[in-house]
Amino acid sequence: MVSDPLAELVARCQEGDVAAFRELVQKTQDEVYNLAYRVLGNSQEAEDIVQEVYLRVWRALPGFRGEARFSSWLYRITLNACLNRRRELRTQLHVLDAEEALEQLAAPAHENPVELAIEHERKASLWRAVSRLPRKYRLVLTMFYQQQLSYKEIAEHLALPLGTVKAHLNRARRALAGLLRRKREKKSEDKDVAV
Amino acid sequence: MWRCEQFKEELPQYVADGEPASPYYRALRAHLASCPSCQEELQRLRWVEEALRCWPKVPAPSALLERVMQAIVEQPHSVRMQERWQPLTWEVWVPALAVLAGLMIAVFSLPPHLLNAPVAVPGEEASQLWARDLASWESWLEGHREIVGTVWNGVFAALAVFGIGFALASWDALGREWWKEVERYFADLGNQVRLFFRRIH
Ligand SMILES: [Zn+2]
Repeated sequence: MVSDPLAELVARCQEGDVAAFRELVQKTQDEVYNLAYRVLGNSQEAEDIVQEVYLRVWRALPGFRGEARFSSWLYRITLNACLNRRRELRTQLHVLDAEEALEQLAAPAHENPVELAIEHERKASLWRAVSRLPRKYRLVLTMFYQQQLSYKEIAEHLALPLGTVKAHLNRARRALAGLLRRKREKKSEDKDVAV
Repeated sequence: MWRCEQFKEELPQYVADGEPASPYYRALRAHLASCPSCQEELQRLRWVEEALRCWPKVPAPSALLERVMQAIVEQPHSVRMQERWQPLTWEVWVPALAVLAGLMIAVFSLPPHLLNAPVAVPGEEASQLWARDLASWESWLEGHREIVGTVWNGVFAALAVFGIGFALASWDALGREWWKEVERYFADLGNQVRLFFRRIH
């Protein structure tokens, strides 16, 4: 038995308490939605998946025996639903060029307070760039940085070896740094030509 | 150059771990001190790490909760009831007990001589054999009307007590409150009626 902050609420839901389920959805929907949004890259698809996930949870709750934390269980259901949906969508979605989102990444380093806004804009560009990385990178980045899961937890959820999870994350970090470098080099080349 | 590439492979993990002073990274730190290219990569990775650490989540849209709850409430009644009663598995034990009770009543009501294999008189037809047995069984029932009646009543009473007791025990073990269940049953029923009228409108 794992101690679970949601255990009491989950128990009430298992008895069919709709009000308790509402509370449970309220408490967990942001995590579920964010993961769905990051994997599917589309708010409409993400909303559909969230609804599907909670319907599945409601149906499966009586069988939930609390061997794992509720959040882990919910996570697994969400992930499966997203990956299945993603597989269906793969042929329909067009793949965007990763560098398209990095236009502003090569902006010069900020030196005065006014440029804090620019710094934020550059970060936003990086976040957009993440959404255009291959799915396996996007997924581990979301799980690690947004859902704040440990390497071990990610490995368990994705049924991957720990080393593979770390390798995916490191490759994703390097890919982002690499795009940053290429953009900067491109900008400086342009400057050379202009001079 | 190939050593540079090796160190660059290690860099993201080094940055993600918070650039620890552990002996594990001693060679990497020594290399960084003398390699401008790797230092640049370090700067870029630091920036990427910082940006990822403050990568904001997308909050769920405000209307999503209502949408989800609507879908939950509108699930077919049968599905919701099935979920609720699942741990009791009434579908299994009620029919099983009924069959068992039927068998017991049949066995108790049988005239004792029918429990033994019927003995055929030479030349007697199968139908005649059955007719003879049926007639003897009927006459046995006639003769033991009170015993049969008592057995019937006894079995029924025992079965009822056992069934109700079992149900209550299961209910109690699951921490269920029966009036809540009844309340929910009627809420479901009301909901079904509401949905039915909405559908025909
Ligand atoms: Zn180097």
